[in-house]
Amino acid sequence: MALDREGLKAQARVFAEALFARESGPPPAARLDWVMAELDDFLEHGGPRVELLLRGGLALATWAAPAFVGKLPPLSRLSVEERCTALDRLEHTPAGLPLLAVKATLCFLYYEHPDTLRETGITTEGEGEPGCLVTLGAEGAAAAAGSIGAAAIGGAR
Amino acid sequence: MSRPGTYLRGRDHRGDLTLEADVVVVGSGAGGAVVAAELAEAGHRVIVVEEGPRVAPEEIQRLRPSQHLARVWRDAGMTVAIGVGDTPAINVTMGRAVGGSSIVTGAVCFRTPEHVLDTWVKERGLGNLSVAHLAPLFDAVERAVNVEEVPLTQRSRGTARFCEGAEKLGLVMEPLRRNTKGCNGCGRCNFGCPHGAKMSVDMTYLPRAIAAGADVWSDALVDRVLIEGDRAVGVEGTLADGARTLLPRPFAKKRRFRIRAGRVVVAAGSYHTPLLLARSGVAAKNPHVGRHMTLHPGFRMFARFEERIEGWKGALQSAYTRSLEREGLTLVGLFVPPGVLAATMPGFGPEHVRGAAKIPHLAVFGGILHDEGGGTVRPGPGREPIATYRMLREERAKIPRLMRVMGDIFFAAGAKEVFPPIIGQPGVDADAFRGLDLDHVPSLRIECSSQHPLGTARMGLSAESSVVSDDGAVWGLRNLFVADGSIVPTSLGVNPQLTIMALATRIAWGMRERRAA
Repeated sequence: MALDREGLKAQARVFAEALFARESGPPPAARLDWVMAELDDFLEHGGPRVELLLRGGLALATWAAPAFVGKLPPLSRLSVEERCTALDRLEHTPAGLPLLAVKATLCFLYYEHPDTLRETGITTEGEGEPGCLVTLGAEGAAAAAGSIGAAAIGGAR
Repeated sequence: MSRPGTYLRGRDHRGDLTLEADVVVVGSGAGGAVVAAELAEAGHRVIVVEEGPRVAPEEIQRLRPSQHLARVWRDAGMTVAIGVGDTPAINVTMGRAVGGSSIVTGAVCFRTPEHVLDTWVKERGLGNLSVAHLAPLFDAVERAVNVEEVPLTQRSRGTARFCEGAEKLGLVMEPLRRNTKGCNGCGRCNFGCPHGAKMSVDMTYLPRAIAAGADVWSDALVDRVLIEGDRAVGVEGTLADGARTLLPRPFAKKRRFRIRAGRVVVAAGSYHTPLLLARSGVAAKNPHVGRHMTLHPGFRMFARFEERIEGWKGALQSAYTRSLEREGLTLVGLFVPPGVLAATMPGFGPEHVRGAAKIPHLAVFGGILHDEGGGTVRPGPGREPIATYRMLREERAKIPRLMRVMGDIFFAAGAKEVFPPIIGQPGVDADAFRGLDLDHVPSLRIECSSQHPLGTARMGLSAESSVVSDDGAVWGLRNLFVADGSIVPTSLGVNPQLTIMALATRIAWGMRERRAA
């Protein structure tokens, strides 16, 4: 199990590269950078039990999933295509539940990125104001995260 | 009138803290906020202590859903009740902030159904909780939080399609009522109303309490109720310092607080009220503390239509049916954020991305089971409880029935495929759905969630069968009350916030009339 936050995020990124891969390969690196920064904020405020849950799910994916395609761990040694197959097979076992926690968290973050929303056809043009649904836009989101993180909630270690 | 109170943050306070009040309220959600407002307005000096942070309404309005989830939901929405026997694991969601779970609801408001109140009166002997007795309480609460019917114009396309299908199959769909004012139907009530239109208690009762002199301390975690002899005399606890770390910090200096009060009201919710009572010695005397938890286990169904549904446009929740009440099922409309929809799409990589591309075409509906109280909350390692839940065989048998009826309704409405709440299950068309063996899906593969944990310090006629009396007083101790979802005597079968508020109002009005013992 990755002990430090950076190790956890590295495992999450390997997972996300597979989860959100298209036919042409993993999603843009910049978008995954954004997701990982958001994951950091999510863990910072979500509390230790959430981190423990995600660490458990990611450890399972990292160390157990490769066996489902006859490969040695960790998951990062596998090609993106092999990762998809391995994780898909793991999802259909009783371990699918802890895997769902990781998948849900990463999806929650990834599908808030304005480019992902646009690509998925989720639009709010002409509907209300920024802040509706999931879209603040990258700039607004950063401003909100910054001001709230610093001034309102604290949460610094 | 006394000076107005204020919001205070435990993390800003230097050193230990000692306070005095007439009443200290532990928890600031639908129960605690109501008691605080009613008693402060009656002239009592009230202090509210809340474990979670305060995120002001104008700040909540700027949060994206994931930020809201991490900041104000307990465990970022990932709390789990462990399924025992043939029972799915249940994701139980609760708020952890000033305003409690009222700030993470979809704002749905139901009065306690009459048949439930009849049970309380006839089978539990709770004659003071009849329809007639509770009517003025509901009237007061509904005025306070502005309960109104969701207009048809705010019904999302997804909900409208479900209603069409339900009516074709003979079910009667009815509009929901919600605590909103000026809602424009932008569909994200669970994650902080961006328009300040959801009348949760941080917008209603807590401002009233503060105007009447109450102080609300956030970031203040109560460790135990102080008891001297047979009476409660206050609470003590720890002020949060902002660190929420995975590993314990044995050498960190903790700042303590102690509040002496004539009366103590515990309103920490069904997960934490029994823990606090246990830490205060109440559980040793009463075996019902932490038991009998009902959850209303809930299941979602997604359906894909040919046309764009754009389920995020419209009120988050706007219609329901009680046509299946006799079977112990309630169907309620809802929508969930795109990220959650995407997460339930099976597969990884291109298969997942193709699934997610269907999101604009998806409609969502949910169903809940009326349950019998198979849940238990026990102290766990650290601060959080371990909750377990065992479904009765007949309750477990309702899950495939619920999936079947929701799927059939969507197909009657013209859906092309449905996505049952089964982990890893791809979408299925009508023929494949008919052939799906729903009766034999392993519990471990069933997605199940709950937003309504209730009953872990239930109300009753004596200490032999309950934890509190019908006026909220803990049996065997003077000046200690409970006023939250944990006192609800049985499953309601509907969203509980209005019931909790009405019972809390009753408890507050009773306390108002009586002096501390």
